[in-house]
Amino acid sequence: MPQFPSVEWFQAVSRRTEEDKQKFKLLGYVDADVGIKIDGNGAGAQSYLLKFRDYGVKSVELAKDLRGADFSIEGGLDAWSEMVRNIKANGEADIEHSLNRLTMADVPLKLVARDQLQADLFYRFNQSFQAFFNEAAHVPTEFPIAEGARK
Amino acid sequence: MTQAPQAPLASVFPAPTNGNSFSYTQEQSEYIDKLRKGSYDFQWLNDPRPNWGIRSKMKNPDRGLTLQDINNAYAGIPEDAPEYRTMAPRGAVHDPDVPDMGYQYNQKYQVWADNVVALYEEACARQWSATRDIPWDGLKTLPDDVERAVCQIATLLTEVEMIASDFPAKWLWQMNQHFHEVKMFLCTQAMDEARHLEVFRKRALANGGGLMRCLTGTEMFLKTILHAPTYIQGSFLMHVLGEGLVLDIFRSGEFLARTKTDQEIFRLCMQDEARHVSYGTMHLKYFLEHHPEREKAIAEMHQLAELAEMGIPGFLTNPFIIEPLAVLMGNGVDGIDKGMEAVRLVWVRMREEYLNRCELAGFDRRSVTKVPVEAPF
Repeated sequence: MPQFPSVEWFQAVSRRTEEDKQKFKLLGYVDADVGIKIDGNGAGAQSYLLKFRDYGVKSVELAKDLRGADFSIEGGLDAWSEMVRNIKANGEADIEHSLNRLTMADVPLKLVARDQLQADLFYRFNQSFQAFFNEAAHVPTEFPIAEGARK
Repeated sequence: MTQAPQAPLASVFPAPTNGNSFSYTQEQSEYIDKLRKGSYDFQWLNDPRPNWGIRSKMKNPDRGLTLQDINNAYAGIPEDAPEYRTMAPRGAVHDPDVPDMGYQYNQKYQVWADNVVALYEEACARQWSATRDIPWDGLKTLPDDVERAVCQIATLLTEVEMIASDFPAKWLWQMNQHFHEVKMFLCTQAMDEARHLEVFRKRALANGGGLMRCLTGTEMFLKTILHAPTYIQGSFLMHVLGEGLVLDIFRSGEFLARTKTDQEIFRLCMQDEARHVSYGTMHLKYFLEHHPEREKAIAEMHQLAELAEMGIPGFLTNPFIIEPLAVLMGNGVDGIDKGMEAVRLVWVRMREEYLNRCELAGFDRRSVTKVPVEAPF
């Protein structure tokens, strides 16, 4: 069972998009390199670069920095974990846990981009990004001890 | 009521008629004689001038044959100024005496954006149906104050969205067909905005509320866009400023939604709107970078922007706009004070994203704008 967050976890979600390709095809293709930055409760940050191409994710890598990303979504492990737990509990993000909602006020997640055109990619392909994370509902997930310890 | 001017039909259809029988031109008569003798013209079959043998390759079969694919194969980069004003496709052979279509926009910098080809494909790939793709059965009865707030915003959006169909429709026929990708993209925008009108009208009338108040100030801004003297002026007002503001409303709407139905409406509209804003931003950049009198063009755009930017505070000090937003953010009239905190955030974001887009286009408004950094309330 992949742990959230990890390359394996994002790859597992990516595989789900392959299995449900027709759904993602209906949403439209995506061309964007998306950074995911997760601050780990004092244990340092982990950054992942997800290369969205066509109707899924072409590659997932642990990144030293996210300078290569078109934009990144950044926030604490607690917020990210809550989002994934919510998706798993509801089969998709409920209205309180959509990507747009979580980033709108810069807390608990924040949209970071080199320039406005890159930031606008988040808006242009938003439904596909949301559908991608919604696939987490179907991925068995182990949550990290650090996140669990706060409970 | 005024009538449309009579079209000079005689100049379009010069062939005379003679009683009940049809009269052919000399050229048509000669061809008919040839056909009767079993002889064909075949000029089109033997014409050596067309660039023959083009075989566009799909870069990505998963997506299909894209405009980028065919542009990579042939006639992909439009000239700055085509010689003719014709509807003949870019790269085709045409008769030397084709009529002048009377296009007013014949220079690339007047219409082009470097992302327009990709945006057209993206628009086609991401179309949706307001009838089919919205989970209308997810609507639920909301408290009256919240439903009224949703309906006031839905009314505003029903009102303003169609401007972005009317505006391109006004200018489309004046653009040289040489830049067909721009025209095609603007057609997708017109369809997008028709769908936005549709979805917000449906929303206002679907959950026990109704269509509410339309405001003089809003109509005046829409009139400014519709009657802008030039395409670049109207494009700046609409794509960069107006749709930039509405994009933030859509984003806020998704944020504020109380039902999956409303959330999906705003999310899908947000995607569409962001494409239009991206075109507008990159068109402004192309226009300013390639204008033959660049400094003069920048100065004129600054004059326009200075006036137009007053629309931002006007938009965000209008009680029919910010109070419904605040009620939605505060989840009811009782929470309006809390909701106003979020409206202040929207003010900052709208201003910031607008200035960022101008900056990206090489149009520095940040150092001169008079729009307050923060909301004055």
